[in-house]
Amino acid sequence: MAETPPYNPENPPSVEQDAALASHVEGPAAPEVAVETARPFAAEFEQFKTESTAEIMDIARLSGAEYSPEQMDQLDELFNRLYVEAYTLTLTPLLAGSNRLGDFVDNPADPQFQRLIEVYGQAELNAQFLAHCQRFLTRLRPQLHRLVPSGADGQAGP
Amino acid sequence: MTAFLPSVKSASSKELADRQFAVLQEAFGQASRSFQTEMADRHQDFLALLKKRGVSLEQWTDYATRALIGGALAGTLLMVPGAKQSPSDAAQTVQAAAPAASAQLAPTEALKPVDVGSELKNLLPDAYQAPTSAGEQQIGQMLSSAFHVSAVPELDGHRLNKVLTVMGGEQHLRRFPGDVASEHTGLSIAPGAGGIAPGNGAYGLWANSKAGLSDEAVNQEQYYIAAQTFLAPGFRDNPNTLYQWFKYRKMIAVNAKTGQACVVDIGDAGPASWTGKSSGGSPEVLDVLGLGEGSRKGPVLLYFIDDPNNTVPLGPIQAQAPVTVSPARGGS
Repeated sequence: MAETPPYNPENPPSVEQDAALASHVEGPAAPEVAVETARPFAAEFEQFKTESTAEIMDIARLSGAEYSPEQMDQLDELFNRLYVEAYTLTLTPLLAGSNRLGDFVDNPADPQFQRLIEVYGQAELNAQFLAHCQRFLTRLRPQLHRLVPSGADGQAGP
Repeated sequence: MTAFLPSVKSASSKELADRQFAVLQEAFGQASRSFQTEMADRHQDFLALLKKRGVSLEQWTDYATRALIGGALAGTLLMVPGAKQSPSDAAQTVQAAAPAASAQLAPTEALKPVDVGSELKNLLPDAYQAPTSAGEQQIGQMLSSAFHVSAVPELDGHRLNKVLTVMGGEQHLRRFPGDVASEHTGLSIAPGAGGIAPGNGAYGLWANSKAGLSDEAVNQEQYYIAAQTFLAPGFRDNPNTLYQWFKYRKMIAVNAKTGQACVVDIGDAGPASWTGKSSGGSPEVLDVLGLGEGSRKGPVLLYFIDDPNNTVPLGPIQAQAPVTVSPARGGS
């Protein structure tokens, strides 16, 4: 494993590398029903979501906005969508050039994640995934801050 | 604990929440559009597989969301994650459940990509031939409809010298004293790619130090264009006013051949007329417009975005049209 190059989204693994990857880990095939498998990046995303939601709520509080329960549900759905987009952007380049990309298309919940971890390392995959999430937050933040009136900084009032 | 200004108090917390939530939805929508653009730009093999299966990227994303998360949709769908059902089968199921699947867009609507490149071929047969005045308006209407922004060739009585420009690649601009190319990170292109201009842009530095750099400033530099503001009608008569008016003015830049688009701001003046080019794009803008490789030059339409409340974020934007999703035939 140590000789495996770090993940580079600009230079995804070749078919040969992919074949090596496929044979790298022996063991039983992944279960067909992935519902029992831990969701990749679940912990990382939950933390990202928790922190982002807290930030959104802080800005809402500063501007005097109160979201309804329905809006909170919708926000949850929006985050779910973001998770899938970041997940797809992270995994697609890793699977490019191999027939495993087709498997991923057919069954996105089972990208043979454990094998990817063995090759690229959990930390590297997590970093890539979170980079996609953070890119969104970087763009969202200034838009939200524009909604906070000047003076509503929690420090001083009229 | 927190004191609010009277103007804020005048709106109810629900109104404020609705307004703020609309920004959130737009931001998440923008993220989705960026995702689609990136997939289209970099993962054609993935899209080819989807095409083979007869599903769109959006349908697949719905499918993947259910497969990975389930959530609110799980109870309404027949498919379970990991089951032997192809996306094309799933697309039918998704279609049946589309109102819930696309709840973040509208209760009964989904969005489908619009091929702006094809639309432009009709309205602008020669991508280097400037449109007539009527053509400018027609193109503006088409862009407004496709990108859901108000795209106009003229705003507040001001316009650039050209609507159809030949855009070339620019370097990054310095944002604060000592700024270097490698500090320009977080882009879809490699950090530092494109280099950095030796002098400041026409509007100077954004901040006095790196610590003072705002997110907004980072975005403005990232998605800046250089426009020939000095050749704009009326500039000689009123240079100071127009200088300020054009400064960081928001526009939509559209590759006139392909329809790839980016919301940009005017961050510099140029290029000089003798260069044969009539606008410039930051390394990121060039990349978004599909001009980042090869000659790094091509025909680009520039329209102002009428956005008085500043709700349209800078960055890649994808053309989409709402479609009413009806239940699949034979669905229960």
